[in-house]
Amino acid sequence: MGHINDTLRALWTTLRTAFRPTSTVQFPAVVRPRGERYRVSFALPDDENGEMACIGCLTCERICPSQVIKVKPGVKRESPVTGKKRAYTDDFVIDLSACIQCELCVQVCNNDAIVMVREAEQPMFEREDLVLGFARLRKNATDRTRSWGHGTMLQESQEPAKVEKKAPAVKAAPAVAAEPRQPAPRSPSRAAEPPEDGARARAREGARARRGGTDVSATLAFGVVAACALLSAVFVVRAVDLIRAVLWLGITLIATAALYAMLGASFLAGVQLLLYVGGVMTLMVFGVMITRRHEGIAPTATDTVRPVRGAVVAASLFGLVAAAIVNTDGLDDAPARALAPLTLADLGRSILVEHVLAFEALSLLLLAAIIGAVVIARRRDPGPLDEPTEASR
Amino acid sequence: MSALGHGALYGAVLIAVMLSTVAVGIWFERKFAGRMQSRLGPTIVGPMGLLQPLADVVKLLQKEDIIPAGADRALFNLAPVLATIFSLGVAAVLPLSPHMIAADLDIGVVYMLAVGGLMVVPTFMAGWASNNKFALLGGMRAVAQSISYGVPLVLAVLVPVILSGSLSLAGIVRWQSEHHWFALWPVIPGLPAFALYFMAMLAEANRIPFDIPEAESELVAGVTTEYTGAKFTLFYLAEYVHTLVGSAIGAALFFGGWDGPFAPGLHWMVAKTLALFVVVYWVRWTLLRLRSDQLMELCWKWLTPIGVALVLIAAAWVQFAPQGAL
Ligand code: SF4
Ligand code: SF4
Repeated sequence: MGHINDTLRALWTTLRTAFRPTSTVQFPAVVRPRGERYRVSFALPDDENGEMACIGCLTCERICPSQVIKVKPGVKRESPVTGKKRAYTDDFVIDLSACIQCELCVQVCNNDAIVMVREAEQPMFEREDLVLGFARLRKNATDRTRSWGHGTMLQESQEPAKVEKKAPAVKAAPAVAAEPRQPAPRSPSRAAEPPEDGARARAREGARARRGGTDVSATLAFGVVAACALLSAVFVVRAVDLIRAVLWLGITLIATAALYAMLGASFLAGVQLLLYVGGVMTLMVFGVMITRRHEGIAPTATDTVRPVRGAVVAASLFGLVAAAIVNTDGLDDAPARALAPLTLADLGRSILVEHVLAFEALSLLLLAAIIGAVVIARRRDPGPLDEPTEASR
Repeated sequence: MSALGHGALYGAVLIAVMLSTVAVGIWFERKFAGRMQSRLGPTIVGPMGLLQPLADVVKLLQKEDIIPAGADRALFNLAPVLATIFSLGVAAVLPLSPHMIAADLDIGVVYMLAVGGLMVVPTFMAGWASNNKFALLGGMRAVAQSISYGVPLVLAVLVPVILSGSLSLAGIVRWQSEHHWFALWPVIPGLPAFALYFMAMLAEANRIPFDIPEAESELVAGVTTEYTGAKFTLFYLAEYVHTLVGSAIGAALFFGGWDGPFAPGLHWMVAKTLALFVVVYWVRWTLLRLRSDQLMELCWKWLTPIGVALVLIAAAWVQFAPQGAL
């Protein structure tokens, strides 16, 4: 029951998903709004006095997990704007190629002197171009849109005492809205359509015409099919490759089915295909595959007794069948019989009423064969009761 | 001759219709699969990606035709052709509407089972002829699988046969349109038999969760590993057609085929077939592949006994049910 439950739940999940808006959009046509905290590159902005804010304290260089920041502190001097002494930085390099966008450098800067920006650099062809120099970083401060955070703000937001409500990240609005479609309710009432027997009757008529029709074409067809059956039977025996032999056997069986069909025994033809081609042949292939190496088995050429033995058996079987056919009455009006084939009901009655004893005997035989096969197959693998012998250890 | 002519005409029309349905089906599958995985599916080629299957076919046909060294050339070339023939061959007995049946055989059900069952032969042939261990393993799995699903498939199909007393697909549909759909009434052998049929059909068409012979995560592409270009296209096509025909037969056997109010029979048949087709893809893009031994266990230990029970129930129903209930 667990499996069925799981299966149904999985089916429900996928179905629900199918009627929901997709997670993806077709990019050039639909551009999804970027998140509030989207950030790519860096900038070194000014402070409130219009000077570059960075004092070259190296905190960001030390915190960077990828160690991609290189700051060169400058000498302390008086600020031309405020007149106070302050520190400056002479050079600042960030290697974007290894930056993991962790924003730690931004977080630790007490001066809000390094921030991230929302626009990515243009695609580049050289790895060196990803190394952002001082000039570029300064330029970014004026040219590009700043991302959401700066050092003091981030530090504040992480102070334990002043835990305030964090603004929830704005979710990207789904770009494509799918309207869930309701399957049209099916009305169980039915307008009785008149049973149309026209096509059926026509088809049957045609089939009958074909069966009893021109003798020449029927004979020709029979000849072709019979030749197919015989030839492929020869190939079955001649084939060196066992798998090929089985496939040839398949053609023999199909041709036999065609013969049945031509005699009007279409049910038999169908069953022949179903059981022999679909079943027995498959089983043979299966047997070949699991028991032998796949090169196939070459017949032992040196053995002279076996072909003779085989020929004798085949000849006697042929004689037996031929005798049976010759001794059967009423074969002369076979075409007439073919015109009025046995119905399935007749067939069933004849098997289950007239010949029920033979039928049951056959079933018993098959049952015995199955049990025998199971017993033989079982003996191979040691069961849990089998004592491990000294040798097997 | 007129019957033969009609049959040939319907056959040609049917094949054309089915191939175009398959093309649309491929588009639909990709789209549907995309949505089930919260993606968009094809969008670029044609409006809503509708021409994607065309592009696929053109791409496939352009590919180099490779026959591996050491392959059994005759069998290798024959296999995809046979696969296509067999899968299309089943369609001959499909009752599309009261008037549209290419060949209304008295034993349509047996024919359908027989020709459908033949599908394993080309699959195995391909695996054998490729001279490739993955293909061979795939072929072997196909054979093992066909032995397992065959019995439940026949048992499931026997239920509507017994209930309607006809072996002709059209006869079964006619019976249902005069009485009731087997999936609805009698519910007990009807609906489980449909479930059984559906599972066995998936296995026969090598569809997930039973695509064990292909098993791309284990066997590269299973039996089709060595196939390229047009021959691969044929296999691909055969698989789709097989699924489509299997859905159509399911609709005919259990859901009253062309029977339905307001619209012509053909419309109903097509609608039901496509609905089942969609379910196949729904299942395909949801479930995982079973292991070979799990499939055997499922088929032999569960589906086969259930199938036997259903057949017995159906027989009892026909024998003992009050006249009004039929
Ligand atoms: S950016 Fe900030 S942390 Fe980095 S060196 Fe400049 S002042 Fe210090
Ligand atoms: S974002 Fe992280 S990895 Fe990138 S430069 Fe800043 S600290 Fe280093």
